[in-house]
Amino acid sequence: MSGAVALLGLCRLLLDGAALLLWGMTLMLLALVPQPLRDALWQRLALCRRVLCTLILLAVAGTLPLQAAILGEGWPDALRMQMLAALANGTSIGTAWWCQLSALVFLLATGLFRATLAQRASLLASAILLAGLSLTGHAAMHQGWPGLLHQVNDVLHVWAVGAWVGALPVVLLVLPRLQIGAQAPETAQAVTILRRFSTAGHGVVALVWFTGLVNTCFILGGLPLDWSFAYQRLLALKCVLVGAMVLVALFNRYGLVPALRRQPRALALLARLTWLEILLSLLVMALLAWLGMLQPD
Amino acid sequence: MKKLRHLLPLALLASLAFTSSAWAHAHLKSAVPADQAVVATAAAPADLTLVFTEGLNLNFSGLKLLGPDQQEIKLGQAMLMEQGKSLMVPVPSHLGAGMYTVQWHVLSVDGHKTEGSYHFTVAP
Repeated sequence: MSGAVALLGLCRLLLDGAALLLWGMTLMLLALVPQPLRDALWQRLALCRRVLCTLILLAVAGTLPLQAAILGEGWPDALRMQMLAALANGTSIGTAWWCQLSALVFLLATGLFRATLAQRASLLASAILLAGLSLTGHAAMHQGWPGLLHQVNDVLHVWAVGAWVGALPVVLLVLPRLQIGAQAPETAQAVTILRRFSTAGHGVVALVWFTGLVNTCFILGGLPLDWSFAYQRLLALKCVLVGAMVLVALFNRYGLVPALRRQPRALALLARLTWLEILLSLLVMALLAWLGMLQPD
Repeated sequence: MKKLRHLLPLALLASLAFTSSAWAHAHLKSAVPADQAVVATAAAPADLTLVFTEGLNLNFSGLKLLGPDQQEIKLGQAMLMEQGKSLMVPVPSHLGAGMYTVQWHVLSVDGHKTEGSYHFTVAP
């Protein structure tokens, strides 16, 4: 069954990653980018959004049969209707799946709306997709109100993570506008957007760390220091990678941004390091998808 | 940021206070007959009870009982007890002398699968 487990891990990565990016880029556009640039960037991201929606569709379609194969008697159970129905309607895996399926249908329907409405609807749909992640798995391990607290904290965590990493592709689209010229209105607007991103970014990164720490305490009752468990080794590695992301972000903000006026090459480096941030965040998402299937302690 | 700094110790304490009693995956805590137990023929078990650390999903949890000849022994309908944390399965037939193997697989309420096995012996 290791093949099915690996494929389920891949589905988790596709769903988590695509939903995080979609949520973050839509939030960034709606919260920090003024019109008419907002609609223009929304259009520039059309292909990217379509790819993300397709990945989410594949992940939602694959999750249930793969879980059925893993929890049942192997591959023959993957497409047995009775098994799929029992899984969908009688487990926390199924509850989360229904939630994600509804959000996905809503997300696909937003293609029919005009841009302003589509942006808001996509934001809502991706928020629901991410919230659905806390309905099963480690976030759902406690009962009663500590359980609810854990789930609320988990939802805040994924929303904050998405707000950070999903904003990065939008930043990449805004950065070249700084080159247009110091007097150009496009440049002034880009500076305003990036300044807002920087201000909001401090709060969002703090929230990512805070909620991540609370989540770790909920799941492990402490820090991931017992490295005899793969879960704790990978979680420690995830913390290191996120730490590296924070360092790159701090260097970008306090090293490169002040140098932009004097050093023309700083802009190219800033764009390259933003790409690095995106790559690091993809690695972190892969760890997240893997971690969720392991026994913590 | 300042507010977060005040909240941090509070949240850590609150989460620590509630986490000591739960694992994300269901572990076998105890069983009757117990692992490695030896029971007399007269006291051969009429049911098997397995107690786990987490609540279970009955539809996706169950066990197999293998006799001394590795043949699977027919069992009754499994049921959950003790807030869903223990799995009870009736054994309709009388178990003769020999070593028995219990192979269990469970799905915890939060959606994680665990499995394992243990032995007990019915003394001649």
